[in-house]
Amino acid sequence: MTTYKILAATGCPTGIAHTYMAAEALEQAAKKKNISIKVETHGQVGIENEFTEEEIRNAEVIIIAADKDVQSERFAGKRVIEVSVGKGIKEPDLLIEQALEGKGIIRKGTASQTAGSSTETRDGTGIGHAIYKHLMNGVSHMLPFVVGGGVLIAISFLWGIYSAEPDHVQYNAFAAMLKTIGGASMGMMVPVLSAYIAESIAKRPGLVIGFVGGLVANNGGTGFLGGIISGFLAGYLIVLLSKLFKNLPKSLDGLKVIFLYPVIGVFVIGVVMTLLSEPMSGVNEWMMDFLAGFENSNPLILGIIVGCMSAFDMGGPVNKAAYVTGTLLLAQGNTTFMAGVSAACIAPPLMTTVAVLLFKDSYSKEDRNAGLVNFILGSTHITEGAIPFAAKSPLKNIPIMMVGSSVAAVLTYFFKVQVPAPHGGFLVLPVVTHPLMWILAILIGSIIGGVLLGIVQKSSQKKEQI
Amino acid sequence: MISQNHIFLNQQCKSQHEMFDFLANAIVSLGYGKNARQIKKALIQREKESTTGMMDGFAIPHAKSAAISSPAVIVVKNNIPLEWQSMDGEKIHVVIGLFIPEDEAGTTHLQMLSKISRMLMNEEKKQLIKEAHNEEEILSVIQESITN
Repeated sequence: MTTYKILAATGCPTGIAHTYMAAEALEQAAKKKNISIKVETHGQVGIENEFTEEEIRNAEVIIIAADKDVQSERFAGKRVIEVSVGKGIKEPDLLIEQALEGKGIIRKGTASQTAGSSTETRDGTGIGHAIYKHLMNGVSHMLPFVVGGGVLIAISFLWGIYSAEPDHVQYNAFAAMLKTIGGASMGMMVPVLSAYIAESIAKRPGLVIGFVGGLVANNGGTGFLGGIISGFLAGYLIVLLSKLFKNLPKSLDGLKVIFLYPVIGVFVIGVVMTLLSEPMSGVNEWMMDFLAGFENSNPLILGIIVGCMSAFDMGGPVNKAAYVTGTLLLAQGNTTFMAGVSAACIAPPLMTTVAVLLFKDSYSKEDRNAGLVNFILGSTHITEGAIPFAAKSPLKNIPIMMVGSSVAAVLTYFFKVQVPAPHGGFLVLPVVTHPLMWILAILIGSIIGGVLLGIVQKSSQKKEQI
Repeated sequence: MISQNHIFLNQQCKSQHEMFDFLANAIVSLGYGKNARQIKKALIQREKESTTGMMDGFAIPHAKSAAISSPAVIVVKNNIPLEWQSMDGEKIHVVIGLFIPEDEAGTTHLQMLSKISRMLMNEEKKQLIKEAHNEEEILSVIQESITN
């Protein structure tokens, strides 16, 4: 790490053009005079090339060329020249000269106050927005894996839902291959989610730890909720490590990135996620016992429980408890229970389809397309399609999906639908008893859930604009 | 987000507003957006905050709008010098428009756009664009800047 004589922070309201032009101008002007400079940009992407506390401490002077807040409280006690971003573009040479001549004002406040400030709170837009940003980074990277894998699995069902089982009459080698490939892509989902949440927090060192944490979480059966936890843990673990190692000599910087972060990070996240995963099988068993107890209760209560469990973690331990109970009962000849589970598993992706169709303007293009693909995924009982939507705002969207799934399951039990297949969604309709009623039940649940999702999305979008 | 058909030479826009109309319509016809009126509004809005007219006859108007579906760059060389209240008072000959969706989440495209902005501070590159006689030359200058 080098020490910079001059630090400069640039920023403009839109953060698309001027921020970077001023940065470039100042860098060039300093280069002409052979002065070391580091320019931090506050653009649309966020803060890039961010100063460390040490760099601020060691710099002689700080130039702020910005029309927005660049968290200048960090520069307390330093000599600061503050101008508009336009001046940074137009008169970079003059600014550098002034900086060297000792112009500027000593910033009020004490340097010691800023020394303790942490990276998390530095994000000027608040902790809530920061968490959202990290989640979004994970979700947007995960989405293509879900779509690619999910659609391939759905296609494999066209040969029959047992087409991948070698001993079954429906077996087809190509379909089995499709399902394996699709499964591989779906298997990347949780690790990628975790990795890119961590990457958003802690850049590349975070990516490594996030991947490993996500894999351990995935293998441990914690579902996507485990992936979110592991992503945040991994990211902040690196932030913490970088603080702990702050006082190591600079000659060890290379060693940190290539050795210390990965080795310590992977070890810690691995242990934590393993320990977190262990109780998961316990949770799973407990939920199954709990569920079996309700098997003979009235359709309303059973439907609500099955619906809530299926939509809660979509592939995680709670969802699996409902699903496995369903398949076990299926083996004993009980085809009613599975009908509700299937309905509750099919509904969440369809809710997202309904939401993006009815509330077009509230969703990004990426979301709209994903919502439409989810029609295929939902129709073939691939609940995971809904995960990207759920993961964006778990606290709001998961309860809504639980409501929608519950409605679908309750109605299914009321309509006395029987489903003798453990998977396949609407592709198994020919063997379903009361197929039309089943579709009706699922559609009602999906529409209720979809409308609620859309309303919440619309209102949260409005809040952001303010 | 940039290709040869994003580059327009010898245009005859008579004012900044006409140029905005041209840019917004081009974005829509190239398939990067839906509502030209809204995109133009976003350009005007940005211009109100502060001028995007830079130095040496270059302007870099930009719009961030929900009407834009994916990020794009458009380059226009205009035969008529345009009043743009630029930083050095010069009239504008070359317009490089940057267009970004409202909810652009990824950073790759934004970083590419920031590199184009940086390019405009490079005398040599500016000269190359000014002197370019065909679309390919301009495209290669921009692509070189993006990939660096």
